Amino acid sequence: MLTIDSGPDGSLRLVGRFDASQVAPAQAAFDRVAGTVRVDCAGLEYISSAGLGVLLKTQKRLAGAGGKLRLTSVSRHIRDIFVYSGFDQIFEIEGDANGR
Amino acid sequence: MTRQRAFARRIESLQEMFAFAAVQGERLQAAEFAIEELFTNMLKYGRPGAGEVWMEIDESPASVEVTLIDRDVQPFDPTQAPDAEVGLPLQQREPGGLGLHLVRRLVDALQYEYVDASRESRTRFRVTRSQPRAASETQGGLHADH
Repeated sequence: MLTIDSGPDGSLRLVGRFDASQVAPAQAAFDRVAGTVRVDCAGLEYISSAGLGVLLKTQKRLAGAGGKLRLTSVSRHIRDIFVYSGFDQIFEIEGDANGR
Repeated sequence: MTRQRAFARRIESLQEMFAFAAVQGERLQAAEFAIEELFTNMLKYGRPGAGEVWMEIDESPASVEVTLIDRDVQPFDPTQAPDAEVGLPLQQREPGGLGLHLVRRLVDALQYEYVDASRESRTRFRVTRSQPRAASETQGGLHADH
């Protein structure tokens, strides 16, 4: 189960598991954001390639209008997945405060 | 100890598969990632209406081996699928193609076997119970021994 909360500043907060069964509702939430958007990943426990596809598609759309996703509080495991995917080259990624 | 169970060929089976695998500790994420990517590949490329997919779990104190068995299918060797082009600039990147690329880097071994007589694909991966070096430390990534 994945929960996506929208903050008053347009940021998003991901909580739970971003797997293939969550793509449709997640893509709908990401399709609504605009500009430069902070995505708080502190509560993100798991992401698969289906979730990576949603992030990539959104980043391409936002970049077309000068915006971007900024991924914050990323755990070590998920950061590894981003690095292996080359996402560290095309996203701004900040680790979590504990260096997990 | 070896356990095995059949799962319906639908995306909703994933949660049951994760629960059945029940990998504990810091290698949980890698194991679940590999199960999801290999299983969703079977859903994508398998024959619609084909039978269930079997999952076999073989645990030892040092490692967990997971085998996904798909019957009555064409051969498809995930160890030979091309890597994704992860160095491309953003506008040239396309969603898709990352699943097997990542599986090969996250698990400690990945093997594929096809049994002609039963048209059976057997894809097996192993995760050891200790955490390998992080990607952010190695940059080049780990290489599974195919």
